[in-house]
Amino acid sequence: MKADLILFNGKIHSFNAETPNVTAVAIKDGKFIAVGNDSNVMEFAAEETKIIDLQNRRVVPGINDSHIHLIRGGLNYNLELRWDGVPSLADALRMLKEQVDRTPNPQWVRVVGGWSEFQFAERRMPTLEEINAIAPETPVFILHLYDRAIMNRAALRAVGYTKNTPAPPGGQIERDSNGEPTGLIIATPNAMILYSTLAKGPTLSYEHQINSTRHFMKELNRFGITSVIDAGGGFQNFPDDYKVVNELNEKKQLTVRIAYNLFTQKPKHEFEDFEDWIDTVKLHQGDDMYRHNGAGEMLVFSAADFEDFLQPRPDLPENMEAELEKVVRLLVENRWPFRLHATYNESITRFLNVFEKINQEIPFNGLPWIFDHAETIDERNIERVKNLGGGIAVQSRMAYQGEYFTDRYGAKAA
Amino acid sequence: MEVPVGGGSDATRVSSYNPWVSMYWMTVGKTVGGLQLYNESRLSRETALELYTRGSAWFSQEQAKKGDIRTGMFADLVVLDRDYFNIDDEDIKKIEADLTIVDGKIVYANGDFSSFSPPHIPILPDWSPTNIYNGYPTRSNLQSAIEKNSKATAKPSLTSQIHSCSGSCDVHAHSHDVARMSNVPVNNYNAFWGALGCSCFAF
Repeated sequence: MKADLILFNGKIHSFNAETPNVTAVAIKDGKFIAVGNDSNVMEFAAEETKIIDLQNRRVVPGINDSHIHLIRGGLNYNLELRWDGVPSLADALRMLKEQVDRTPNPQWVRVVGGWSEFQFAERRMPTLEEINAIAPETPVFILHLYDRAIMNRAALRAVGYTKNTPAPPGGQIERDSNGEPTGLIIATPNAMILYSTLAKGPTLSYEHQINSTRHFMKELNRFGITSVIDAGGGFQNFPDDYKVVNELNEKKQLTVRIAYNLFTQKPKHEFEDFEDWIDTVKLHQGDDMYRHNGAGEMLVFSAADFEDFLQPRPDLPENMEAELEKVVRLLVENRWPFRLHATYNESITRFLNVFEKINQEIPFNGLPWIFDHAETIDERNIERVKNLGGGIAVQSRMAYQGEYFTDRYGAKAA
Repeated sequence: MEVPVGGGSDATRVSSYNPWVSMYWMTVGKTVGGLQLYNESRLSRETALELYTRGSAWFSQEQAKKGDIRTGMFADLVVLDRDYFNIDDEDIKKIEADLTIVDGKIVYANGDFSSFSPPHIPILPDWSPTNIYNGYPTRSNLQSAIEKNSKATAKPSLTSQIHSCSGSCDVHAHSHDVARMSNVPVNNYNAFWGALGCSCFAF
């Protein structure tokens, strides 16, 4: 067997104890056909084999982000000014000003997360005065974690928020002494107000969404990401908002492997959503680049415990158990893997009560299921997860809001 | 059997998608603001990497197909621009790929491997922030974005409208950005700028 591609002279990290000191790999038809030292692997070389000298560099397996919103992020990537990793607020505001100057009407400038004021040398967020001075005409929307959005006056005009606009439950529109919105909207703690406001902004055309998704994947490739599991997301409808990623896969233009979970968009009607998908979507349909992966991370809206550490931990409503049981029972009956957003141990205890009850009647029996986040899970509940065959997807969210978590719960809790 | 654990970011709306910031967080236990939140439960670098590769593969039930470099598995790998296992903690956050391979194909190449790079795709629309800043900033690309922007918009005074100085500081003759981006202890930031007498941050 002859290789399409050989990489040699590398420091290749494999988790396989049987192959220590790997320096070379041979690849054919998208798979490794040999992993070993330079001389073994070179035996797979033919005239047409492409051969690359790794120059003694460190090589690791492709990175797999097990909880990301790639599909939604891709549709919007080219619209968003990113402050990820920007070292100072002065830089961030200068970038904002530059982007305001080049953004045509009626487009917005939006910074949608990925930053925390603690990364800035100044250790503060921008003020409303600052963004109004920078952008008198262009709508500016800046999302900070899951806790607030800072909007300039032009953005308030664009979304039509006035003195008479009510805030949705769990959200707050800050008002001045005359009752007019100031531009600050706050999740208390339901982030729906933030996302529904953001969703009022213009979107990219389909053609530009294709381009935007390709550039977002390239950006992930830049950090070595080769696979992700997509956790759906609010306002990310299946199948309408998956056309772009589907087309890219059909054209063989995906550069990241995507397994996607289906996220319900219908509070109080979640069961109907999943019933419909179980009928129309074949579990694991797709191929090795783009593949269905079950349900979640939203299963029922009543089970959403928002991870806003600036707000007290929400107590989930009493009807949560009944609603969750109905949906999870459906999923287990149909052997659909599922994942559930779960921030706090208190919620996890209640979720596990539901899962264990269902398991008594319809054994999970190896069905893979996942808790997402699980920032405060305790030993006892980890044991319960283990007994039910579940997994835990952990993220670096605390790296962006650990300061707030510590303020609220103390360093010992962390 | 232990509980399967997968690494991830929850990007894009709270966290950044940069996995090396997560890897730094898991192995060093510090937030992006430098707060030491974990110490005893810090993971080894190998374990953090394992969560983000083999660990995550379980979450789509593809653990036999990917997550490692071994015969028969998908040819997905990354050549790093520095050696993750032999660098200082703080440098973990700066790691980028120099070569990324998915399904046996080169999808990204940079640095010494840039001759293997797939063709560039123009960014649309042309006013997109991605066109100038091109994603997650590193010190070098933040600087080049600033330069690119001043050329693109022919408004070299743009930065000086915001900072009281741009490029090199006219008054103090230090290179503004070099000084600003140098690794000064954050607690002493104001003192640092006071010492240089440059009030760029007063804004």
